Amino acid sequence: MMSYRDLFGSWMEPDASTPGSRSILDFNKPRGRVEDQEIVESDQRLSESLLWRLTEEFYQQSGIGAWKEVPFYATSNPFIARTYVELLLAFLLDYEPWLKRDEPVYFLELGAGTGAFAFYLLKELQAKKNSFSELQGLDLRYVMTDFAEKNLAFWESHEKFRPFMETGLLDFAVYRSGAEDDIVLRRSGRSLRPGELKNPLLVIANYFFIALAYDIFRLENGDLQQLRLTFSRDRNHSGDPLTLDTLECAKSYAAVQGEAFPDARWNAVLDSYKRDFQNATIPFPVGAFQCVQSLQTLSGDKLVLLISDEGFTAVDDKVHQELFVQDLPLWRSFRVNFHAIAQYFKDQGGQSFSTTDKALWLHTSMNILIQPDRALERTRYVFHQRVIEENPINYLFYCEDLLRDGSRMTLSAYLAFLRMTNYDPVAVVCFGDNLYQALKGITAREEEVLIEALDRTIEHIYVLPPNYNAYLFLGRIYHRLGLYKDCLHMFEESEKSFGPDEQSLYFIPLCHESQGDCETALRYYRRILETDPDSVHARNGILRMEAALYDRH
Amino acid sequence: MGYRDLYAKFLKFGGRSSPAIEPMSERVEFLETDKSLSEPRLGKGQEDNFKTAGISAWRQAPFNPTSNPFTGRAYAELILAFLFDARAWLKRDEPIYILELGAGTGAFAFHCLKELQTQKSFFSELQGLDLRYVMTDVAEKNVASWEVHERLRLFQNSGLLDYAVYRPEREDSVVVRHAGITLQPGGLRNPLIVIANYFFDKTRQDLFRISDGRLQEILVNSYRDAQPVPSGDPLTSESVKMSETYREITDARYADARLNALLEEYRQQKDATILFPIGAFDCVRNLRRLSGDKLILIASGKGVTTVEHFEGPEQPTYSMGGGAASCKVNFHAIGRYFENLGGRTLSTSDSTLIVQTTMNMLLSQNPCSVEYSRYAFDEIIIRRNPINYLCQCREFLQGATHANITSYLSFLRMSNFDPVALSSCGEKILQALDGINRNREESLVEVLESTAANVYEVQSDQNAYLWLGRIYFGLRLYDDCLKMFEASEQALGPDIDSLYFMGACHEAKGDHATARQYYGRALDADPKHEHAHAGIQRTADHSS
Repeated sequence: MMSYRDLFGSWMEPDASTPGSRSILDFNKPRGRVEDQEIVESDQRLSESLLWRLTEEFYQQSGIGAWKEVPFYATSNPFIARTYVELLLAFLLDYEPWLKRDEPVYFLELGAGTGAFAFYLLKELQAKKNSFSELQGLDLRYVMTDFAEKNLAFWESHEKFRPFMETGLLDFAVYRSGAEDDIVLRRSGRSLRPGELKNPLLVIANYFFIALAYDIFRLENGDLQQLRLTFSRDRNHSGDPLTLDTLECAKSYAAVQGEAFPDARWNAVLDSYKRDFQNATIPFPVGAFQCVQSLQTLSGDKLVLLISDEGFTAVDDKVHQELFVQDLPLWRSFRVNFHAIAQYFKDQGGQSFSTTDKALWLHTSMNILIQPDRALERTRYVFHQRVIEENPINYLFYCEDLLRDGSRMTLSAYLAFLRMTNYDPVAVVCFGDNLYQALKGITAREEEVLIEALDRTIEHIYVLPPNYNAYLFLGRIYHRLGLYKDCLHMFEESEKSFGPDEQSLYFIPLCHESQGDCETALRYYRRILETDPDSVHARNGILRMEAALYDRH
Repeated sequence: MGYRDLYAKFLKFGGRSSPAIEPMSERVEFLETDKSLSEPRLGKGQEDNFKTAGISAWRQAPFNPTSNPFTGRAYAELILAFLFDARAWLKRDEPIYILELGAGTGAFAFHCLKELQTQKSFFSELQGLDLRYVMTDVAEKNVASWEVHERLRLFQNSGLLDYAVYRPEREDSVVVRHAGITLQPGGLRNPLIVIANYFFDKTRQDLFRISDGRLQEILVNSYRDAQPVPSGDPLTSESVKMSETYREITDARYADARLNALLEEYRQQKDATILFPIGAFDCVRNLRRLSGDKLILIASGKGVTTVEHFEGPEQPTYSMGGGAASCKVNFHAIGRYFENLGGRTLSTSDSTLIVQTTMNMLLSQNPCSVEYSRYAFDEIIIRRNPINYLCQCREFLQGATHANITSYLSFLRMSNFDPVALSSCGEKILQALDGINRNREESLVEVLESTAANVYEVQSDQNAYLWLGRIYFGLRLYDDCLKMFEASEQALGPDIDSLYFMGACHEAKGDHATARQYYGRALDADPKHEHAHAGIQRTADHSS
C-alpha cells in the first residue's frame, strides 16, 4: 500500500533521474586523472556556479512533467492549504483598517508547479473569504507563477481552475524570481509594477527557496571565508552540452576581504553570524534574498512571505557545528536558512513568525514587512495556534506511521482522520484497504457520513501523485456500499487519469451488471478475456450476462 | 492504557440501558408505574449520588473525553472568539464570568484556564478584561478537593479562579466561595459564559414518541420479580426491571409554553422517539435569569444534534443503574430553545461522533455578528474536531509498530501535550529512544516538560509520571526522572517501578547509599525483583 511516508521518502531520497540525485559535490569520490579533465568553470562562488543554471534548465525543459519526478505533495495538500488560508485571512483582518478596498489584494504563488496547492488554497479561500464582514467585498486576486511557460499552459487548460478563472479570482504569470520586478498577468493583461500596488503583496513560496542559489561561508576562529568551486569534466565529453552527471567538482575556501556583498542588508545578516559564532558553516540564501528584494520593490515595502520548506529556523552552535560536519550535501538538500530570511525582515523593521521545533522536518515561516509596523496580533495568534502548536502540516504526514497496521481501527477512526486531513485523497490511498475492511457491519448513519466524506474527498482530487490512484479505492468502497453509479464514475475517472488496470476492468462490468446493463457488462467481460483468457470472473460474468440476455429475448 | 480504554469505561458506564422491556413473570412487584422519565425514581436521584460520592464518583464516571488539554485548547479558542466578537460592548470595569457546571475532577478547568491565560495574551483588545472562572458542582466534597489541589492554586491566588456549590436545575444565583459574593439575577453586566461538559446527560429528561403525527409520552414502570427476592429487600440495579406505557399528549404538557411549542415542532416531524431534556431547560431558564438573557452555553457530551438522528426505529437509550443515570442529550432541542428566543446555535452535525459539541448564544439585548465565534466553531469543532479525533487516536497507536519517535512527538504536540496520550505511547517512545539524534532529543525533552506540566489527576492505570520518569531515565536525565517518580509516589503512594527507578537514578548519580535504600524498599515490596537484587549487589560491590 502506498503511503504518506513514501511520498515524503521520494523527496528525501531523490531517484536517479532527478537533478541532484547524484551529488556532484561529493568531494570524497575518486576523480579522473587531471590530464584527462577539462576545466569547465574555475574558482567560482557557489551562488554563481553553473549548478543553478543547469537546474533551471531541467525545470524549463520538463515543464509540468518535472513534477512526476520531483515530489510535490509535501506542500501541496488540502491541510496545508487550510492552514495557509487561516494565516492569510488573519493577516488581512489585522491589516484591514489600512487596506485600500478599491484596489485588488494580490496573492502571488512562486513556483506553483503542478498547481495542486493553488487549487486547494483557492477552494479554501473561496469558502472562507466571506466569513468576516470586514473582509467582504475585497477584490482578491490569486496569481500562480512559474518560470516555465509550459506550466502556465497546463494550468490554463486545467478544468479544475476554470471556475476560479471565470470569477477573476485566478490569474497566471511567468515570473523569474529575482530577475524581474514586473509581473505581467496572463488573463487580465495587467502588469504589476513597483510602486503601483496599493495593498500588501501576499507571497507564498512552498518548496521554492530550496532550489534557489546559495553561497557557503565558513567562520574559522572568527575569520570569514567563502566556498569556491571548480568544475571539470572528462575531455571525452568536450563539446557536449553540460550535464550534471558528467561534472566533477573541487572546492576551496577563499578569505573574504571587506564586505562580502554589495548590498548592506545582506552584509548585515552575515555580520550577525560573525558576531554570534567563532567557528561555523553558514549556508547563505543568496537566491532567496534576491527574490525577496525583488518582491519588496514590487510591493513597495508591503510584503508578506509565507514559506514552507525543509530547513532550519533557529541557529546555535550545535546547528552550525552539524552543518560543518556534514560539509556539503546534495545541492537540492541545502536546507533553507529560514533564520537568515527572518533576520533580513527583522533588520528592516519587519516581523517573522516561524516553527521552532528542531525535530520538524518541514518548517513554516511567515515574514512580514509593513511600513509602518503594525501589531498583527491575530496573525501571530493563528500562527501560534495552528502552525506552532498543532502543526497539521507535519503531524498528518507522521500519522502514516501511526496508521500502519491499523487493522483494528473502526470506521469512525478513519473518518476522524480523514476529517483532520481536510479530506485529502492521498489519505484514502494510505488507509484505503483498511477502510474497506472496516465497512463490515456499517450502520445507515455511518454510511451517510462516509458518503459525505467521500464526496468531499473527491472534490479535492486535483492531480494525484503517481501510484496514488485514489479513484480505485473510492470505487471499491462505493461498490461495497452498493452505489454502482458512483463506483462506475470512479473507475472511469481512474481510466482517464491512469489508464486501464485490473481493478477497473474487474469492477466496471460488475457495476454495469448491477445496474441491469447486461450488454455493456458483457462487452467488458469479453474485454477481460482478451487479456486474460483464463479469468474465471470474466467467464462467469459472460455466462450470467448471456443467460440474462437470453431470458429477456 | 489509553484513550480507547477510557472510552470503553465511558461507554459501559451508567447501568442498564432501556428499553428494558423484559417478559414479566407472573408474580411481579410493581415499584412505580406510569412515571415520566424525568420523575425521580426509587428515591435515588443522580444528584444525590454525585453529592455523596464527590470526586470518587468521577473515578468510575467518564471524565476524560472532554477533560484533557486539547479540549481545553479548543474551548479557550471558542471563548476568546466570542469575547472578540463582543469586545465592542463588553463592560470592561465589570467581571466576565465563566461558569463551569459539574466541574467534576477539575481537570477540564485546569486545562482550559492554562489555555485561556496563554491565548488571551495575544490580543491587546482583550487585555484588561476581568475574567473569572467559577468551577461549580452539586457536591461540596468536590469543591473541597479543588480548594486544596495544587495545580489550581496559582489560578485561585491570582483571582482568576473561584468555586461554588451550584445546582443549576434549581437555583438562579451562585454563591462564589472565595470572592464572597453572590451572582444573582440582575447583577451581571457582561454575558455569562457557561461550560457544561457531560453535564446535561445527568439531568432529567422526558421521553416522547411521534407516530403518524401523534405525540405520546413514554412512561416508565419499574418492577421486580416477587420471587425469589422477598418484597422489602434493598433494591439493586440488577433486580429492578422496567416496562413502558404510552400516554397521548393533546394539551399543553408543560407549564412553559416554549417547551410545548418545541414539542409541537417535533410532532410535525416524521415518526421518531425524542428525549426531551427538561432538566437542561430548567438549567437554561435559571442561567437566563442569572445572566439577564446574555448567555453563552458551550456543551459537549454524548448526544444528538440534528432531528434526523431521532428518526427511525432506533430508540434513544436511557439508564437506570445503581450509579449515575446517563442519557444521550438532545442538544438539538436545547439549540432550538435558544433559536426560538432569537439566539444562535452552532453544533456538530456528524452523527457518528462520540462527543457532540454545541455553542448556544443568547444576546438579545446586544446583538452582534458572532463572526469570530462562528468561524472558530467551524474551523476547530466542525472541520478538525480534535476532541473526537484525538480520542480515536488510541486506535492509530495500537497498530503502530513501525512508528518513529517523530511521529509520537507530533502526536503529543497535536494532543496539546496530553498526559493520557503519553501513557498511550510511552512504551513505544521508550523503544524508539535508541539512536535518537540531538534535535529530536531536544524536542522530546520539550514535549516531556510540557506534558508533565499538564498532569492534573493521576490514576493508577493512567500514571503519566511513570512513563515520564522512565523516558527521562532513558535519556539519562536522572534529576528529572527522580522528580517524576517522586511525584508519582506523592500522588499514588510508592510502587515497585518508582522504587526501582529511583534506586537506579541515585546509583547513576553515584549516590550508592540512597540507591541501596530504594532497591531495598523495592525488594521489600517484591522479594523476587531481579533488577533490584542486581542493584543491591552492584551498590554493595561499590561500597566495599
